[in-house]
Amino acid sequence: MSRGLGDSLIRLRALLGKEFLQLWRNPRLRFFLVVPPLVQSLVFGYAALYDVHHAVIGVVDEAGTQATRELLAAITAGGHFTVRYYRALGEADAALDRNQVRAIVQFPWDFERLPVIQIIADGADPNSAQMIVGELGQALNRRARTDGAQSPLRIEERAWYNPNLDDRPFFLPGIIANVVFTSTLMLIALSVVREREIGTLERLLVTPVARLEVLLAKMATVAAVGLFDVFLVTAAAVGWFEVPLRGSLIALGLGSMLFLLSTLGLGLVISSYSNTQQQAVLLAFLVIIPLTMLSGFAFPIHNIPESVQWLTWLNPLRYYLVVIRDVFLKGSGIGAHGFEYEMMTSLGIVMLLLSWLRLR
Amino acid sequence: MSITWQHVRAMARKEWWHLLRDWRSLALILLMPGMLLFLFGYAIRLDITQTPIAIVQESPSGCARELAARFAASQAFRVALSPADRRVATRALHAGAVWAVLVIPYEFNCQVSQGQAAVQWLLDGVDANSARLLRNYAQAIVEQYGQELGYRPPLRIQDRVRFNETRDSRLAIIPGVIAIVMAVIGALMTSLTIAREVELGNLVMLRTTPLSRREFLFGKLLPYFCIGMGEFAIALAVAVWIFAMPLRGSLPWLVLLSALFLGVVMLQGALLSSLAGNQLLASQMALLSTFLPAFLLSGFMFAIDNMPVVLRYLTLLVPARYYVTLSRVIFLKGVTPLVLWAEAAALLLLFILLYRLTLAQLGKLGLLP
Repeated sequence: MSRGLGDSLIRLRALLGKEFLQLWRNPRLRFFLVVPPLVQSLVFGYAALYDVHHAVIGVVDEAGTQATRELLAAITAGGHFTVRYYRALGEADAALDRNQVRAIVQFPWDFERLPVIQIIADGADPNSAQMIVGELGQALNRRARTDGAQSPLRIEERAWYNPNLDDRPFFLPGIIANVVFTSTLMLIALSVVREREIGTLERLLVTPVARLEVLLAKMATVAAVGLFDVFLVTAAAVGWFEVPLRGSLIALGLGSMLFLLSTLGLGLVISSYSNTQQQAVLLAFLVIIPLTMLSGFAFPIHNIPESVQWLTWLNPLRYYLVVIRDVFLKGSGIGAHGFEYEMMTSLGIVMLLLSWLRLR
Repeated sequence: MSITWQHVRAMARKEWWHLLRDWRSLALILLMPGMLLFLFGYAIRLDITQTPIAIVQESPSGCARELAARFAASQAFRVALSPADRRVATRALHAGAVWAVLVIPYEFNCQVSQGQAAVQWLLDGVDANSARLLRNYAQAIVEQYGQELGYRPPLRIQDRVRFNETRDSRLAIIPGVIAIVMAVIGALMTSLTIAREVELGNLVMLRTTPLSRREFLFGKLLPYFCIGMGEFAIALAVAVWIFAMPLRGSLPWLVLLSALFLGVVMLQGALLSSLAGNQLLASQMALLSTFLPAFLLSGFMFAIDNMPVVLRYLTLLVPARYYVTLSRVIFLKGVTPLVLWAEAAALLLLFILLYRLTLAQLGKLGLLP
């Protein structure tokens, strides 16, 4: 028995050497390992901003008094808005139609007597519209209040973990999950299908290696790639975008490894359903999109209708995202996510069993 | 040089046959738009509804009760927890069970004569976008109640969101999804099909036939163009009839511009695959260069105005950017797209450019001119 185990370890080492060599020798695969994670980090870091940082606002100032000019100064003071003037509301409306301005601020001619300001925002992009309306309203109210009556009620607010409500600490840790998920799933599925497609899998199986050993070697290699991607994106987020990393790296590492169980299992299931690499790519894509969309990566889970929401309990990405975001922003340690670890482990075991049944 | 219809038809027929033979890939391709539309149209919302919050009402005064009731009545919030102790609520916030906590402190009462009364609003800032929306909703409720208590604000602001009065995020998402469906399907399908021919060495063999590279390209793309337009029709029907998406502008213009956009992304796929020369790399390149940009850099999810200058210039090369703008204008604003002639012209320009480049690349691979 002990000799059998020893032999098996020697065979595993040989297979591992083969897998790593294959990975390393192929320039396209090397590209695939490094470039997409970095490109995704950069693009998400710079493009994925829901908050309004810059918008052109059309202004129709019919009153043209000292008061309205001061209010306009308050709008541009924040640096987020550029103002373009129009003589009549009709002209500003046409500009809104043509996407030349994102919103219109109108001061009526009798503003002195009746201080009512009208803000019209472009609903073709409702999220930006709400942000612009909210921010314009705040700027105007703040200016008006400095020399006016006070409301009897006041709201004091504090945002935990992310006091400036910056979008980056939300998105960048999520990229880790996204990148690891996509790359490991594709890699394991394609590496099995490719061997089957070109016939080397059969050739391997006539040698003394067992089927399980082949799979184990492949899984270990892809898992190493996944952990490398975690490291790469974490480095980009912390080093380049200065996202705070407040929690324990051990918790992040443990979460990543448990998450890899399910992506590897899922990748093997996909490989068992595809005859060609093309089918594997399409099938993987068909699995990746819904799992990403229904994970809380970009869209809050509690907004999903309840008839679909229960599905997210079966999504390993959901738990991994909780662990990653808590480690980065809330500073959680290893003890904080017992439930998430358990769920990822059980989903991982189910996936691996399923793939074992399919590939047997 | 000239194009013989017979040659194109023969090529297209062969391609049809090929498509029908690999029914698994075809089924996957046909499933994708339905799934994307369902996900984005039904399952995903950016709006805030029924967000779990906690209310800690320490003050026994009547107006504290009234304020708490207004938060509870708002569509945006669902009171998941109302503990007496604020530590219980903050623990729930830390654990992620609630997204915000309203604390009405013990000394709170709203006698206007006694000066200002403050409530606290603690937010989980991790999801910054949701937190900002929650902040706006809470401020609106407090402001409104303050006015009812006799406060005359120095300023009144009336806001209106045009073209989408209910501020439904779906109305903006669905035109974007149609763009994504067409971009992905168009580029993915064509990239795989031409890369396969290159991989198998068929292009060199085609040189012995009278087929020219234009005929090859048209014949190759025609079946996929038909599938792509069919998927556009399905997506449009689902959007209008199932999701009650208003189509305020002209349908012929929408169809025409969609056909142009599909042509652009298909040529993009064709060019990439003739450059890549193998299916795996071609499909990766097609996904990376269509799906991610159509999702992130088209203005579909994130406003282009917000991006840094370099990225803003980069979006000029993303065909989905023009199409998303055009289709939103046609769907929601109902003005003729001639108002946005620059976007339409840019699409046309990209089409011509990609067509030239693809033909040149096919020539390099050995096809007759």
